[in-house]
Amino acid sequence: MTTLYDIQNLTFTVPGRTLLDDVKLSVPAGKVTGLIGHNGSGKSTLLKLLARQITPTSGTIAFHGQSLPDWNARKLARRLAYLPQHLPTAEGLLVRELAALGRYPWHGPLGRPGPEDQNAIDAAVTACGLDGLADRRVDTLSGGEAQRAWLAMLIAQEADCLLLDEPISALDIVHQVEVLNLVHKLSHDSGRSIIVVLHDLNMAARFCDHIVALRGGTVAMQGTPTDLMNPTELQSIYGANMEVLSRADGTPIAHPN
Amino acid sequence: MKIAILPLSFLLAVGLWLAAAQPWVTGGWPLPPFHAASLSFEHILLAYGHMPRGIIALLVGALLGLSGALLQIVLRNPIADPSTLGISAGAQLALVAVTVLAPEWLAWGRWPIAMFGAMAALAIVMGIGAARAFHPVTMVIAGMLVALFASSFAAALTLAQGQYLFSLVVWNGGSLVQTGWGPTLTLIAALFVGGIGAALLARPLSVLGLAAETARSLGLNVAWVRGLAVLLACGLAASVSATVGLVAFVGLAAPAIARALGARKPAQVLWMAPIAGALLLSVCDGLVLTIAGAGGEMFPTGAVTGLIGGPLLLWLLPRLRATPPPAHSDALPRRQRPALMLWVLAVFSIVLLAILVMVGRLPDGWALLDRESLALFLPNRLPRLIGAASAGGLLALSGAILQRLTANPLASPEVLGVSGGAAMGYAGLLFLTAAPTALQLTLGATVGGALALALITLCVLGRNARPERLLLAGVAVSSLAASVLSLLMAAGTMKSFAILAWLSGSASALTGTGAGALAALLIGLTIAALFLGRWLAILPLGPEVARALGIPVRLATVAMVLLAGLATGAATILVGPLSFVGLMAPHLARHLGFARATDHLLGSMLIGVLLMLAADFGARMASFPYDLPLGLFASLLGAPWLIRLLLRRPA
Repeated sequence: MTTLYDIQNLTFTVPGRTLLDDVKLSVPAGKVTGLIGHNGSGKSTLLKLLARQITPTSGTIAFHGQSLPDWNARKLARRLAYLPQHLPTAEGLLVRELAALGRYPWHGPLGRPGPEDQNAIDAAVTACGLDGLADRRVDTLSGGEAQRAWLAMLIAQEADCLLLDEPISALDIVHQVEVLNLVHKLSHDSGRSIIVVLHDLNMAARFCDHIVALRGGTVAMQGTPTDLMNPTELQSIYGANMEVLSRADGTPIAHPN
Repeated sequence: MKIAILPLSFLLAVGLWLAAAQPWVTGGWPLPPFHAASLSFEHILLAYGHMPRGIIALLVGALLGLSGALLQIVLRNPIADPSTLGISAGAQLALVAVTVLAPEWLAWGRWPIAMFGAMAALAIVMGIGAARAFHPVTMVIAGMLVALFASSFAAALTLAQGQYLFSLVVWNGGSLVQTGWGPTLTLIAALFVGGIGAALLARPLSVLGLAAETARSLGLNVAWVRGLAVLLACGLAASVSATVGLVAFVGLAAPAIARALGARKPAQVLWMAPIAGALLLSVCDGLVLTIAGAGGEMFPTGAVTGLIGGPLLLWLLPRLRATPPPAHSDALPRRQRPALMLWVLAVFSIVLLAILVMVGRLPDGWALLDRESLALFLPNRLPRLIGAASAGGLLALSGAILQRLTANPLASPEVLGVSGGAAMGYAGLLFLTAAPTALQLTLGATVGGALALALITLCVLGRNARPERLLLAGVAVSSLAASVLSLLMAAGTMKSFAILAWLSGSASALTGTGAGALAALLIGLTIAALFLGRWLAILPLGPEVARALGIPVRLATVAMVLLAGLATGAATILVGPLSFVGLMAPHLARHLGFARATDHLLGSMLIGVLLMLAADFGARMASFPYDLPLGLFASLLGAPWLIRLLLRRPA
């Protein structure tokens, strides 16, 4: 198993609060890793630190064996794509144009877009099932479609690691499954590493290969979904009494008692 | 105990006031009831000048503090106050307009006129805010734009009627000099009514402090409470405007002081803010009296309090929730073939330029200039037209860059503070040197603009600075510039006139070299902006996305600010601080369907050129054979249309 991220003694504080406290963690490459935890446990903060959106108060993060601050901005963006939790409004942009913005790390501010850029955009639009919507405006799409349009931008970026911050929190259940199926497929078909912050425990257990659970700014557990889905672990992560049931196909689902 | 600062500052205010009274109290204090006939000269000064002044400082401060507290609570916006929302400027414009155009109406009293102006300004700002979920920074920018328009319009009226200049300028500055007890009694009545109103509204307002939806579900008639509170705040501010003039930013500072002293609940803010405001203004007035000494007043107190506004806004900046401005939900059109339209605009500007050079107006009609008159007019007219067109293009380019950088459709070159800085530089040089040459004045304006730009750049360089910070920092610099200007104007005489003339913008003094330089700069900066087109396409999506795509966000922001600042500064220095072209042109371009970054930039630039050509023509023809100030004419043409556009609710 190769390592995607190696995190040592990571601490992040804001005035008056410690959001992440001395986190040690190693995230595997080529898998879908789910980040879960209660509200305020530091999930989004950890993801922003991994995306280099914010800089840690202390501690180190190595991405593909190289310390994160040492990465050149565009070189990093070719390997690492990040989707924030609250999507900005893409006023006036077409779906294809939004996807094309993902090519910025490759051609830069002045480089001429070549055929490989065009291919990457087409492939991204197709991968997200947006062929029929490529010439629609992003601000006229439904929530699920817009989420997929943003994913298309990340895919066109051709990074081998995607960081997604609660990509399904604003979607209804059908679109949640649709987006997570896409995420799962993106990882398993082409070996991308994906780290996704999820609120829904059962969705995390169903679609992720690896789980990292945070509690109060520290790592509470990491392992497979099966390791996670037992009442003792869940009690220690959420501090709530949970019952784990088994579905017909044997996959576990958790429910509060 | 922080609260001890209130009694201490009261003692300080009283001490300063007593010290300033020293020259006249040699014969003891006059005792009420006063009979002017039986009083000595010193006693008359005390009884009808100094004593009411001390009380009026307390009253005005309390009224403004209460007004600001009401506005901040009802709008849930810690930077709302009668100055930042344009209310005071609206009242001022109404009073100036009536004084100049229909002085006989003043017989009905100043208060209704001030109230009308204040309400009109507030209605516009609230309308713009309502379409944007009362987003705090957007509201303040709208207020600043309304205030800018009101003060430039008031300046135009003042220019047209030179003889009223001095009294108006002093009044604008908010002098607290008193000559009797009448205004004091009026303001006591206003404070009494306002106090009762605020006490009645305190509880509904604390429910409204949650959020409109929650308040509604708690059984509150939100529209009524909001309307009454705003009306009351407006009335309090208007009564101050009507009696003493523009006293800036006390309404912003007083609730902030109250909160810093521990007031947390709306009711606490409502009773502490008037006290804080009264003490703040009294201390300020005491200082003004002390500095002035016996030699008469140098600066009106209202203009001095204006100086605290800029720094205060910067201090309040981190306390604002960093919310992105609510998006347009109405889908603006998107043109299929923008290139074609761009060519049409470009050809049209050149044709229009040619026509405007060739056509002239004679006392008895219009004529195509013949060869001789063309040769006569060309050296004068061509630089003027090219200069005006280039300035329009530069401002529009700057506006388009800023609107994309901040993702806020209200961002404009005015908000950048560069024009304000340039105006300060120009005015400062005019007052500091005996007989400055045109070149020196240009240099002064350049230095002022550059300093303002450096200050703004420093503000966006801070860690994790959001684009919103840029807008508010710009508002802070602009308001500081406005206060310094009104201070200088109040101190000066004929020099004030020169400043007013420069502020209203003119291209008539432009030389061939100046116009050529502006045109070259326009071409150069347009090319530079087009090279940065990809950044400008991604930056509206916010710093997170831009950073994730590998854009050096800080460098990009600074580059954009410098580009926009250079464009604004150059246009301002040569043609004066022209208003609204920079805000209007990018809007028009977007409404014409230019959606992509590069199309939007080019479209805005060309529309800016066209707007200024049209404005220059209008300014020359409207009152032929006299020229109207170009910038003023452009704002008068553009502002009503712009306000209509901004008031439109998203579908």
